[in-house]
Amino acid sequence: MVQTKWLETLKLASNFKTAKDAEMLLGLVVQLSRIGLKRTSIGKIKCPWNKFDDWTKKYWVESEYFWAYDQKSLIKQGDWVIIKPMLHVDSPIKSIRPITHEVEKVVFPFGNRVDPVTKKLAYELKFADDIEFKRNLIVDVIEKPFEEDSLLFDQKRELQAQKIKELKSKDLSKSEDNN
Amino acid sequence: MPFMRGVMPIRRTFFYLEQGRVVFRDDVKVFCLGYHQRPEPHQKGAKEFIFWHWAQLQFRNPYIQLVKLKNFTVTPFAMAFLKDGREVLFDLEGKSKDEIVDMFNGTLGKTKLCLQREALESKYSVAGFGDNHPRQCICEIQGQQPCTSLVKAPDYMCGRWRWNHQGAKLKRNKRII
Repeated sequence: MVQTKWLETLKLASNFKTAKDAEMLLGLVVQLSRIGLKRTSIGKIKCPWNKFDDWTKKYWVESEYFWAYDQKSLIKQGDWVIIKPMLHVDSPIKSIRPITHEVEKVVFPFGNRVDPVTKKLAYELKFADDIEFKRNLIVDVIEKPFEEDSLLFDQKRELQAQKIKELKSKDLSKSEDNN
Repeated sequence: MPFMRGVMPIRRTFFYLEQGRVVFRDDVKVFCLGYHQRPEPHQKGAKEFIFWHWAQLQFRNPYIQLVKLKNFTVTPFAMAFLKDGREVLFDLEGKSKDEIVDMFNGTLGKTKLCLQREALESKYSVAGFGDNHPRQCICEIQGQQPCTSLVKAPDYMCGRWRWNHQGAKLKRNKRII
């Protein structure tokens, strides 16, 4: 009885159903192609699938690749898309490549990602707004005083220090207003 | 726990995997989680959730595709894709792993009552035979065929007779068995 229970848990862990039987999959577009007389676009999509290893008792990612039919040509290389298995396959398309799925929608398009929570553009884990704000600050505080040719070096440095003071006092007044 | 390798090997025991608290509803088909490799204090919860609870989540939901997205976006987030096409978005910034578990349970998790009912429904059917049923074999019951380990079964029950019987030989070309 103990052995049968262990086997049951093993079966559950190894998620017997493969990715082919899944009703919906999220994947990365790895390759594009075109088929048929109408040159409809299709994509090779890499879907991460967790497989259970009996010995180490860990889930390892073994991706499965599927060719998906993209009638509306939504996808480009590098997009994250949702796929569904295609039930009705027209015979000429089926014979050329093993097309088993159909693209439903693009979730994360390729390129600088839009944060799904804040809906802001982000460059490598920093918001675009923040980067621009910082850049403008640097220009205002450090570079602009030095552009004034009539002043000497010490006077330019004084200008910089003055600007920093103004910004700090602004922040304090803002926080006071909030409080 | 004989195979104690790696960080926190307790995560690699069946006992621990069975303790998973989040069981998603049947609607949920895909679940992805974006986290950071080197998180700041307000982004830590997502990474800890993955460290402690990701395997449990997959164990309790074996037929859902779970996708980890590392260093994907600025805010740690989770997105569940339902069968209808709806998307459920979770904001995981500033939350601890326990709060995240409660959040998933509250929105898309099966309640205790639901799990109890499913456990009762999935119990063995009284009409069945085998390891997990009350009766091991149909030979135990009076009036049925006796156990073939004790009493030899009649010839016409064997495949040997069926495929080599006179009548079957004549019809073999037509593949009628």
